[in-house]
Amino acid sequence: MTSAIAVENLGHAFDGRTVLAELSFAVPAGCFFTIIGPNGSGKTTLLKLLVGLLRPQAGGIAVLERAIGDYPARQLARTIAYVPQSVPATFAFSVQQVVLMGRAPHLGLLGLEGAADLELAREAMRLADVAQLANRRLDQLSGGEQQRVFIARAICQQPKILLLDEPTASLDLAHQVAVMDLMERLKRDQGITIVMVSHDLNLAAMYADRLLLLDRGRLAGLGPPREVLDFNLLERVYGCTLLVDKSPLGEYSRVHLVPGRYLISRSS
Amino acid sequence: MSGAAPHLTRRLLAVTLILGGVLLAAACLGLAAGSTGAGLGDVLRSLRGGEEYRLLHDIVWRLRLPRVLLAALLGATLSLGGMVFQALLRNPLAEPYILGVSGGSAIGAIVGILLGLSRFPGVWLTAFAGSLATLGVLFLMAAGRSFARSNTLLLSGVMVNAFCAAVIMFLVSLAQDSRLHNIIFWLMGDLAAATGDKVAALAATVLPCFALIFLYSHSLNLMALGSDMAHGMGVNVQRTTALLLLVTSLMVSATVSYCGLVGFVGLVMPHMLRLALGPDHRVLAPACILGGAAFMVVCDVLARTLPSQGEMPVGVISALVGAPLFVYLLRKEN
Repeated sequence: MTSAIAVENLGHAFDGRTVLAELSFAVPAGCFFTIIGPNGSGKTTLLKLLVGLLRPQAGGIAVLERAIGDYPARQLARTIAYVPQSVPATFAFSVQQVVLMGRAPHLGLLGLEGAADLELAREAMRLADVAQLANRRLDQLSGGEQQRVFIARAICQQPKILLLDEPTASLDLAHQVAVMDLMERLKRDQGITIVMVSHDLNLAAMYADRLLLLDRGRLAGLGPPREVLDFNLLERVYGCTLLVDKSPLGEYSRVHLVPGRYLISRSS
Repeated sequence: MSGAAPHLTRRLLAVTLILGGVLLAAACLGLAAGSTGAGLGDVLRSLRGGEEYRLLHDIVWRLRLPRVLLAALLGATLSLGGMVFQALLRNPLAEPYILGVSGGSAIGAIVGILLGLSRFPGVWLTAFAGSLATLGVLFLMAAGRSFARSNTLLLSGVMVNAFCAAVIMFLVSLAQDSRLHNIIFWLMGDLAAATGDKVAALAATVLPCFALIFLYSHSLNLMALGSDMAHGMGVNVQRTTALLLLVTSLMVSATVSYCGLVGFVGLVMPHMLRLALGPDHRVLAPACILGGAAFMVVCDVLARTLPSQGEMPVGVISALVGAPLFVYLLRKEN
């Protein structure tokens, strides 16, 4: 199987502080790939490197077997769509205008959208469950609604790879499942490779084909969820006591936090 | 491009026609207003020439038409410049005047005038250098932070502006005799010295800038969603930002060197038009050009006709009209 993204010996540092080091992995094409790890483990930095927002200081990244630096900006945007964690909403663009902007890398500099583009935008809004918001102003929507609008915009971009930074973080339960289901459908029906940063280990366990566990910028685990979600490994990386059992839904690992009062205090 | 963007094209056409009509009406008003007492009909007939209109013909062609055109170019430039700054900084309160970029070019221009340079290209080049220097200072003050995270930047701009004002006053206090009056009048925005040559030189500078900004108007839309997402949609954010800031400073400093400091147009016009037409910069850019031009032509008519004797600087009118209007718009929006 060809790889959608191949990372080779990647390293990155901010002001001399190492954020990522000696990182190598491949995301197979058509894979649902989730990056997990504690705060400050380098997840967002990795995503920014993968979308070309940062240049790798060491090692290399290949997208569809071509070095990421060799892509012209617009061609990269036709290959990868990116949904960042939070976005400033300054001007009163409507939801439909924002979703249509996803067509920009496919159109000329002025981005004159045609009927086909409008149809794609409508379909993307329907998929992300924001069709009923089409004429609302983006800056008047809740954080969760905005998040879904940006997902619709990314779908409208028709990428081969979709990168998302904690897309479920500000969503309620129903929309968390809806967005994860949608990602799974995009993977299955359109063959889009999904790369997602997530804090929610249980969602990751149920949807991801492969997990990448980062620990202070280094690879701590890589493989199918039931291999990576090992409680010894997770306790070491996250630095807290955890329980891992099986989900009643089937062969999914389920991670539980343990409140401090259940632990035997060592000091007393 | 068959079937492309029927909606957008129609909107563009409608906005261009309506605001173009407004500009045309304002221009007629500007041609007719004056101390000769001739009506609009006479003025329009005199444009074609003929013996009985000899004097009026000269007045209209040599004095009023260049002045109307200069006012239009000034208004269009400042309004479009305000739109670009607001979009790039993602702040509806940004404009070249408030950020001190105009002030910087004014310092450059005054230095040029005091050195006895010619208006074009001498003073224009010193004005451009001045505006670039202010931009540089703004960048340095915002260094380490994203240029778009901009409340700090706006505050820095206010400080830069205050500093520029002090330097301008210092330079004015150095100037003696008749030049003093000229500089002060020019500082407040002066269109009285309009000539055909000046207008042509200014047009040759700013019109290509207009075209370039329009070409990048959709990039401004994408960048309104933040530089990360704009990058993800194929915009080279750094290059586009640098290009647009450079082009905007270039055209603003050109108008400053010809017409002096005129504020609030760049703030009020884009804001008002955005409320009326929505935030799509592809529609907003031509609207700012035409609307800003019409607004400034009317301001100039008021500046010429309101005082019973002589005239006042157009910058006074635009600030008197613009500042309260802006406060009203701001309150209404909240």
